[in-house]
Amino acid sequence: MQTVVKKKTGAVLVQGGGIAGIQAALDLANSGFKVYLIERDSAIGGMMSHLDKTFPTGDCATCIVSPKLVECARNINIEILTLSELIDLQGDPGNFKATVKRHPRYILEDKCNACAQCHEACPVNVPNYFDRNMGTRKAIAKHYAQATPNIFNILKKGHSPCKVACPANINVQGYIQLIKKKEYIKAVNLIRDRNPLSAICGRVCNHPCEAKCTRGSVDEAVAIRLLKRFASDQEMAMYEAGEILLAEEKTAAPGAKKVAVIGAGPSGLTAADDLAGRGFAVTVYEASSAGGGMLRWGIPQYRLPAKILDYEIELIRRRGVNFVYNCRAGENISLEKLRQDHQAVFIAAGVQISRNLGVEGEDKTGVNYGLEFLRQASSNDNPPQVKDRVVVVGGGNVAVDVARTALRLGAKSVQMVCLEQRQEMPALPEEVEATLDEGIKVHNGWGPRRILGNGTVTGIEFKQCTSVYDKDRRFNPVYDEKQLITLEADQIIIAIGQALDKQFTKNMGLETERGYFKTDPVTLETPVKGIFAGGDCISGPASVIQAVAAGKRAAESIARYLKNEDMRISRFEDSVKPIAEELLPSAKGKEKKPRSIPDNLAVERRNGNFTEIESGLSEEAALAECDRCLNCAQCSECLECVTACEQSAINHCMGERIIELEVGSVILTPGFEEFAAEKKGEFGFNRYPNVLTSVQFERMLSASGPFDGRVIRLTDGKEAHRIAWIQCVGSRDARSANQYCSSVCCMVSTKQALVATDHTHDLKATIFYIDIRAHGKDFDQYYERAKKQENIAYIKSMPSRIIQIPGTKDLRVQFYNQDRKFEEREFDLVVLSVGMEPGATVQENAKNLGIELNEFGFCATDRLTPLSTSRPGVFVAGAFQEPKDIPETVTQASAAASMSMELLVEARNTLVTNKLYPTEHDITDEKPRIGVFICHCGKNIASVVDVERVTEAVSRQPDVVFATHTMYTCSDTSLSNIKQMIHEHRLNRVVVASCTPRTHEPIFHETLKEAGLNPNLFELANIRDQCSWVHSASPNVATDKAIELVKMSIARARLLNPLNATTLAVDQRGLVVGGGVSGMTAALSLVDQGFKVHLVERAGKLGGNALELSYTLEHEDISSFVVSLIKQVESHPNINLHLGTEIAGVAGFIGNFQVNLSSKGEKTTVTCGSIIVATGARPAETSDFLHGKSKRVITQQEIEKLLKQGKFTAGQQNIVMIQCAGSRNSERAYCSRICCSMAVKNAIKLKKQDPDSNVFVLYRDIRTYGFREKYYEKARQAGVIFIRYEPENPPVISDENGLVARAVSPDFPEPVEIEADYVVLSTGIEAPKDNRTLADMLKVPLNNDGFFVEAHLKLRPVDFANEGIFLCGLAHSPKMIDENISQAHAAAARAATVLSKTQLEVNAQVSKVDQEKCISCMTCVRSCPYSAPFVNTDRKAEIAAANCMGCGICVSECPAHAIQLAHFESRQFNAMIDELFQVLPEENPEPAVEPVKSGV
Amino acid sequence: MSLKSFEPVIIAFCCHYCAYSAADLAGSARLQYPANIRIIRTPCTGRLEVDFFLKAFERGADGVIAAGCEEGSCHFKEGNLIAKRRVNSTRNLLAEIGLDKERLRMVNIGAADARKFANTIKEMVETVRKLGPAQAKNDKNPQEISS
Repeated sequence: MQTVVKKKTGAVLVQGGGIAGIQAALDLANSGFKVYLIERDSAIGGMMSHLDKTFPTGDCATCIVSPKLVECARNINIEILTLSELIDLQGDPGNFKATVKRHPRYILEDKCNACAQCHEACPVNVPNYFDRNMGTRKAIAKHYAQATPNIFNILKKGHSPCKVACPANINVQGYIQLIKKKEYIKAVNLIRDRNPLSAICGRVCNHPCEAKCTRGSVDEAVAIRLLKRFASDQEMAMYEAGEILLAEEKTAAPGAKKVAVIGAGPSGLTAADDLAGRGFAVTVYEASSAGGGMLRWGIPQYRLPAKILDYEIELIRRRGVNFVYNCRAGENISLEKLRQDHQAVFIAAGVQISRNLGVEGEDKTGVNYGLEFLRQASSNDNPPQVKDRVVVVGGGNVAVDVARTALRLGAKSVQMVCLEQRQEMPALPEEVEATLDEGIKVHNGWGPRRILGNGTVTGIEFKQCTSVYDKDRRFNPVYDEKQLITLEADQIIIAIGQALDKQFTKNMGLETERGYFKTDPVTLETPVKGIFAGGDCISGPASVIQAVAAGKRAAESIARYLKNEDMRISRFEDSVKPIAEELLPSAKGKEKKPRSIPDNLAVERRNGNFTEIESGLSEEAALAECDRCLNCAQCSECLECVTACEQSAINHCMGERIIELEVGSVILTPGFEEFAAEKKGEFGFNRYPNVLTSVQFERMLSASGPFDGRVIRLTDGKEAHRIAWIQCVGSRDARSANQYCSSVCCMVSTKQALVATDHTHDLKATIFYIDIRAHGKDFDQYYERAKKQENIAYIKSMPSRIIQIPGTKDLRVQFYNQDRKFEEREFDLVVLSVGMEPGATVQENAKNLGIELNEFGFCATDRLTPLSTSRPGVFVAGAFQEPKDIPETVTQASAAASMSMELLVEARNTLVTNKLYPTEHDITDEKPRIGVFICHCGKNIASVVDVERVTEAVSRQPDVVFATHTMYTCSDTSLSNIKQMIHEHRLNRVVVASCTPRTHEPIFHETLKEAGLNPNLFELANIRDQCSWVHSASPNVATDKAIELVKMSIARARLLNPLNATTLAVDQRGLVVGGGVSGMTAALSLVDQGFKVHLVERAGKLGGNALELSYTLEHEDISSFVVSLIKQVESHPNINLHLGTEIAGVAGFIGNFQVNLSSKGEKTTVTCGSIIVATGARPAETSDFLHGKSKRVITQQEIEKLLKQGKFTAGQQNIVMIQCAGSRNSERAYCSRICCSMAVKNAIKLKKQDPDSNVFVLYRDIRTYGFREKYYEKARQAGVIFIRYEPENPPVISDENGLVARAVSPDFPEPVEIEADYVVLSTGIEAPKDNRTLADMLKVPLNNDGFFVEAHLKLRPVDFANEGIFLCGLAHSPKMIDENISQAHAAAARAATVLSKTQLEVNAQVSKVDQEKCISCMTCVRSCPYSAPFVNTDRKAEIAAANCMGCGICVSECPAHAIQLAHFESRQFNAMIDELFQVLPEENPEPAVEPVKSGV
Repeated sequence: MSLKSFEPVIIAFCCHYCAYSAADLAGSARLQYPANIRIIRTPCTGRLEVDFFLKAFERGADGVIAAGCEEGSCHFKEGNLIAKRRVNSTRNLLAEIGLDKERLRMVNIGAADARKFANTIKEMVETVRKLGPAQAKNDKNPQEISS
């Protein structure tokens, strides 16, 4: 059988665009792999982009992460897929098929140029999640200021409850937001889009939207109906004031298809309006003399004035609708005739007949019916007769209207009687209220029994109604015939409902169902093709808005019918998607604001007239009301952004997309979510506004955060002076949260306290903690520094509760103090140091991908294979593997990249793209020919800066041969235009005046390259960020300044030179110094990636410290792992092993190192392209605690060995362990990170071996970070006794009468004295003294403790500042075996970015020494931070271009002015200064060329 | 020229990685500050020569700012510290030639600190406005000071 070996795919999917994902992507892309970087949010950057400063260096997080973001975006082999999720993964390592779900951004990524005009236009403010809801953002915005990709996105969660509740699905939130912007006409148009009866519904709608309004859960629903009315009234007022004109009258085009609409009620009007708008020829046939139907004849004018009705019908008429009045279908014109004359018919006849009671005496004189009564009342010529005492039967809106109308027409007393109890009445509550106000008595719970009188009514008898509806909510009244009342009356008006006229249905000849026309519920088509029916005539009496909805539905069907389209698929109604309830804005913490109430006509002024009662909201009240809207759906779809966007980049109809990607491996870097602090109810988060989470506080500190970096209280905005931090909120808390330690919070709080101190004068910071875990490199020193500050107090206690003091809103923290006494302290602000959790969606997603999770829900990994998930080919890095800080995250990211590279070694360079450019045009002998392009940036620049004046002014500058201004210089068309102009005008320098080079220079460089010009012949003047945006109030000044800036750029451009990156051949071999676990792992990783490696070990054998290691917390047998590692290294053909060998000298630079080796006096030289330092460290020595004096005082390493060999039997002995023996003191200031876990490990072992032994651990802080916390807990459960001591009072060991340990603990009232059988010291790790020798040879630095110093503590943890040299293992700092393994892989990945290339491109912006001028003073050699300058054979300074970073420090330091930095030459700076102060001669020269002013 | 109408011209050399970024952020945050400032971008404040400062004054600048990363955060490790040293020595030099040393200032501004950028400019403009026009430009033989 033949097996087909499938070729592996040279692409990797990285899931999660935080710093881990970014680092992994960069390493892979820089080593010959294609990367898909998948990010859930709309921009990459993850948690790091939220941070203010980083510890322990105090670096600004934005400053250090931004360049990485830009680098990622620029790399053509990294495809960033934002708003995306990996949902499925099929296939095997090397050949996966990944399914990715892409959520819509609603903005076309290739069109958006981040001009922010949409942002200006957007009226919707929603809580800004990026700032953890402390401020607001627009619904359309960038994720954060430095977002990459630099484009906007729209937040949409579905449709708001109001829109969903509205039968016509009017975009309520949208028009409210438009009203807020005072865009009244736009608001009304948005309403009319779904409902042409805007002003009418603004008065009479029964507003089901308000019942569902989320604001109701805070206080009261938003007054939606009144806002609709307000907008409509504004429109009418503008029309009446002559400010706007009504739309021009339209008529349907000849030949347009014809539609007949029967009935001019709300349903018919809506359908007619819609269909006319679509271009059909619509005729409405109305039986009465005017349009409006029930709106005109059924609703009294005090609620809906005829003027309003006439206005809106006129608007509909102007759309091209033809009205035929006094024409009763079925009588004056037959349905047959209508069908002949029209292609479709819509029956919207309503219900016209009042139902009768069917009781005795109904035929008596003085009995009237509601509808007829109202109809008569509405027709001015023949008002109905009203008697003195009127009883109205019914509880609906018609009954109420009847009663109130009767009162106005002169009745002396009006009473209403209905079956329903008050709250059950079908009439609107506010209408019932008004009825009562007007003095009408309402009798609830009575049903008519008989009407009394002789021929003429004298009264009416009622029986008690005990229930109206049955348990299924069906109308099924039950009466108590024994309970009767009689009301005296001269007139009885019955208003208990309406029905369809039977004669009319007969005349129509259509099928009916329970008395109404039968229709299809989706299309509203009757069984007869082309005939549709809707509104009350198919459903029975319903609300106006339901009639409107029916009209809309019918219109859509009719339009499709006439165009021969499917009437069922993808209808508008189907597109309305309610927001999931859990995504609705929370009522928590929302300030209560009363609902706006309109002024109503006083009751005493209503009598005898039909003046409109409600007056509508004032503008002020309406705007206040808009502010109450919670913007449930976030984006309101008001479409203001669409209008504002000149790039047509916005598409609100985008949907989800599913794409498939072929990848060889997957790296999971989804990061973490912070613990939900409200789960710890005792701290009052979300209830007490001055209780913040640490992430919120971070945003508060950030200069780009919601408060510009001011530390304030959210309740009153006052500066906070007393701040408390509470550690371990959600961590180290197995009972109510998570058992593990989140590793970083102690340092985060320490940093926050230090930074806050900087921000606020007189700040008093208090940190409540359990143990301070400052286990990272240089962390302990940072912590000690903070502790020494007088204003930072550390209190070892876990507070039990926070109470908010009423009035001041200060916070009272309750806790047990050092003396075990209950204490309370008050603070202005409390910060909860929330721990890390794997996101719930991430967990679920991982399960779907077949990734096992550990007991805490993080990705399950093994300490010896920390980067491998349970699924081969899928790797993990960062916080999803275990809570960790940035350096470990970045390390793991590089390490996971190396795992992918090892797996896909043969597919390297198979899928990467190398863009080809035309040959560069040689400009050596040319005079400068400068082209200048001034950008409008839409309105961003042009609305302030007079771009024409700028163009005109700069076009006169010498050497400028072309100048123009363009709308968006960075748009595709403009870029093409630049290329064309370069050719047409033979430009050899280009100046663009637009925005910032930080984001846009790469785009223009690319354009120059495509046009055959060297990219460095480009200069950008930033007239947006430096002129229009910051001097917007002074256009003239801004314009003058812009002219100067552009002139300065021109002056500089004149002197620009093409720079050509030189390439160096790379020696593709690696060299690893050190043969311990780290060195061996790094070497194996490199050979597995296909490189040859020299492994240099000073000892005669491999293994290093690990040879001494017996077991770890998690692994019983570590030596077999080490033995297997040694075997692999020894047997690998591509590892050139140099045992017993030392490094004797290093020369060369990245890509080409020459390393001298010395073995027993024998010297050889090997070459390599990259060096990895893995020289390790060793257990520290101490002479404290009688070590070396008593045989019973041993170290942890020694007891471990004895335990392993079975030579140590605890047997009921007392074993005292002392932590920090000889470390964390003035001599060795750092924490060795491993000792606490080591002590816990050995203590557990001892207790396991002999539970009767007593094990005491004397400690300062137990630092079992991450999941190791579990073992600390285990040790305590096993009975290990932990006793804290303070450094000022260390334990004392004496051996006078047997070994005795004495300790003074702050946690014990008395000193502790233990007769010890053994004392075990945790001595820590120290750096070898001779590190200095190697450091000098490599020209790399060591820190005060003798460990090697990486290029950057946070983001370049395994790089040296000197290119091509990398670092891993204990040589870097003390750490655990899994961390060493990760670092080793990381160093290999970083080395691979060099070794994977045959040619290395050397940065062209480098410094160069003029050999003639060099005076051999060697100042440059001393001042360069990168050791780039060296002394050459002529004893002059020379700069190794490969090592030069382009800072220019040497240039400015050189006393002989012998050095220049390419692209930042002194003359270029000077030219700009000269230009700025250039006084132009009085007689301005004529412009060199006529400026080209078009191009906009 | 009366003092009231005196509009100083100030050159701000901003490092690409921090201060220039902060200026950008001031732009996107629409923070308003006086238009008297002209920014010249430099890869690092460590690149700035004493000659640039002197030349600026000689040509007519009323004030000069060297704006770099926060101390300890320099993209090139210690360029901003070197710049600080040079600025300080130049300030002494200014005193010698009769210019107030407050006309030249070294500031450290993180990339996210738009407000600090805007405030720095405001303060500098105020300071220089009070000091009045720099005399260097009226010097008859300006070449001397920058050689």
